[in-house]
Amino acid sequence: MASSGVPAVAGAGPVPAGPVPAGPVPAGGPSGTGTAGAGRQPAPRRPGRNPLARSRARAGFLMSLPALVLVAVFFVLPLILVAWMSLNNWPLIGRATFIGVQNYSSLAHDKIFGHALWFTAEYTVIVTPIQIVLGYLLAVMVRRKLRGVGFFRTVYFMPVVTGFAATAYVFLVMLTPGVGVVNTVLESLGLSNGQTNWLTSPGLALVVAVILITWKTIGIAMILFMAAMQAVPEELYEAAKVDGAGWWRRESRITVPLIRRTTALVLVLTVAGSFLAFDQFFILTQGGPNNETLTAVLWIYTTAFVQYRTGYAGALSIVLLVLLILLSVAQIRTLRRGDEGS
Amino acid sequence: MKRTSVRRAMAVTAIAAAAATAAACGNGGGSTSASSGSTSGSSSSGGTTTINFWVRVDNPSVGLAKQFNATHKNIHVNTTVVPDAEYVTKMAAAVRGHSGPDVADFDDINTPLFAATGITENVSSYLNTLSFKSSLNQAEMGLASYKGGYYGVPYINGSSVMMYNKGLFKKAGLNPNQPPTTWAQILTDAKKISALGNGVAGFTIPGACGGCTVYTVWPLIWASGGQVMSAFGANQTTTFSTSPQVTAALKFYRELWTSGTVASKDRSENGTTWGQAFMAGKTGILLGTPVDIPTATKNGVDVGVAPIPGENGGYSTFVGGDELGIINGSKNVAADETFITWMLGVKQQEYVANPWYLVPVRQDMLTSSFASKYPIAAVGLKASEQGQVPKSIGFTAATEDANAPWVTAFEQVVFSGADPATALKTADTNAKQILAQQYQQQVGG
Repeated sequence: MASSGVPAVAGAGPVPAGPVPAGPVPAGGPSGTGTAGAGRQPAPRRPGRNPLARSRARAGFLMSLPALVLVAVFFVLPLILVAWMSLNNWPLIGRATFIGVQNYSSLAHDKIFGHALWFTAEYTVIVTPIQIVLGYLLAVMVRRKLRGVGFFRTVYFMPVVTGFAATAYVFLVMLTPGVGVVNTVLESLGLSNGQTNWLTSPGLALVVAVILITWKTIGIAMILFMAAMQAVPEELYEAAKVDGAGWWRRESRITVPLIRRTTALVLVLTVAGSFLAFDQFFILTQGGPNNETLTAVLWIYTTAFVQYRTGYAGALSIVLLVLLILLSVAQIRTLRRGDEGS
Repeated sequence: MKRTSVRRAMAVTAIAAAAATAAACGNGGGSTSASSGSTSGSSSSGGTTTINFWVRVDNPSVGLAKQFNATHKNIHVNTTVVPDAEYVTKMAAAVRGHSGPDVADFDDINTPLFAATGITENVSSYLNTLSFKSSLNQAEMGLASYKGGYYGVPYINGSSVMMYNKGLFKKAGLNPNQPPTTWAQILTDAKKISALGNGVAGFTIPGACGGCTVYTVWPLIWASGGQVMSAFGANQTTTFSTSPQVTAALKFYRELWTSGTVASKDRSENGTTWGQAFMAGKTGILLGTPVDIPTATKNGVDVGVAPIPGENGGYSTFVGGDELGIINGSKNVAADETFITWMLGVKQQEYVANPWYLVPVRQDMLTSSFASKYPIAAVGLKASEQGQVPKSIGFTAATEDANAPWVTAFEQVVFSGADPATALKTADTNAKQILAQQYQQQVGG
């Protein structure tokens, strides 16, 4: 199939066979300017030489200026500040003192951070396949225009728009033994003795966290997959049916390859999101018992706001950021290679 | 031309948006505290001095400040309530940004931290002007003392006590006017009350709440002659594994748990519903804060109060509560001092005892007439004579945080039945590291 270097756009489906435009519509397309011979001018070899391309570029830049300003002020600037803080002993109260890379060397011996990274990785490895497979299956269910499918789309997507902290608290209350509804229901169904302490056992707490995040965010994966699937031309399926392909063959040979870019997107989003997991663990278990459900970000929070060591927390943040960048780059590279190989 | 004017419009919008964003960011830098009151320093206008006062949670301070304003025409107190969990962070940010209050009411546990980091000012000479200085709660004075000066003023004594349900005692065949005075008695009484069934528990253990367990279990240890922490300083350690009373206390709690005298949900109690079963009349004994008593009484519970006993008698308490401090940078220290002196007056301290059910911070108020008018506060006040409070910079991180070494060891020994020797040794090792780190971080080498 035609491949191109166009970066993945959310939900972008395959480009139909035929001449593939190399980029934005070249100058001289239907633009209505007074440039002489517009429709027939060949695309210039050096962009920027063409006054129209330059003014388009400037317009593009100006349109993205507000976003750039926000990114600069709320991301780049704090990032530089955090990098600076990480080189200091910076207590929340009191004076900061420059200590060079001492925070990083203490970091190397921080067993709790190591354990937190391990737990976060474990959590990511569990959540990611669930999100992809379940999101895919739900999308299969809701992609057709049957009557009532809108209801299901809404039901699966609604958790996405609820507040995360609020839902985590609701889960917390539902799971508290003696107060919450989960144990009562399980007991009445004869499935447990009604005294299960869901959040004081690390294994059960992990299960709860996975259920919570899946329920909360599966709608996004579903919608992305659904949009990608809807861009797959019907003719391909009809041709396959004529050839006698069953449902499984149609899905695995047609749908899965053609929505590869969306799968990549869901993968990157899920991995990044899971790596930065904080809210559910903060609310449900506070990382306990004994730091067994502690995630990387939760440990950063603890060092900064419970231990008041914001300089050290800065060093932890930088390390996490670097890890996440490496991880994302690796993912995108691997998937793009697979893309070009097909 | 149409195209150019569209581009121009886009450019103008983009730049305007960017400018507005930059302006908004530049302006809004100040703290967003619970209410609008944090202007820097105090101000004087035509004879009335305004001082800014930060208080934590909902406590006597709000009512007292109002009374002060009503009776003092030349000083006006502007009160801001700051949630407890954010108090230290907000204070640090405010003082750093020169927009801190003049006077602050804070958790007494934080006094050493504020002293060491220069948040509160030295009030030694002010304290010497108070005639009742020597009767101020000694534990709280200890917290405020730092490098030869005093950096806080004891204000409220929030001592822990033992509360029991007299009705349940009677039902279980126990004398409601004879609360247990030893650990063995607590165990037998709790067992008898649990035997009543019907969802009634004999005892309460807030299992996952570090702040709750240090407040209620450490007095048991102290009353038995034990120790939990070594002296304040760079080499401070916890003594969980070296003080046998700590092991004894945890084993005692383990026995309470395995005998079924504690509700199973207590294991994961993180403090948010602590004491509610007692207030609803479903628990026999609750170690905790007397602030819960009015709610219990409203629900028809006949509450008895007694000091927290040692293993074989004696008693102690955890002197929690609040101290007042003059914040670094306050511009009208004279007005601050007038306000603080007023807050320590006998009438005001009686207000702390009723309607607030907390304890006055002046031991000279423990007279027989006080005991007959405020019997509940009198229990806490008497217990304070044997009361202690740990003095440490890293206290929160080492004992109250959900993953603190104390909390972990407590859960392991009491609920999982782990061997106390190993669990407490590990806790000591981890706590020592945290305390050293914290001291180094805040006080410096």
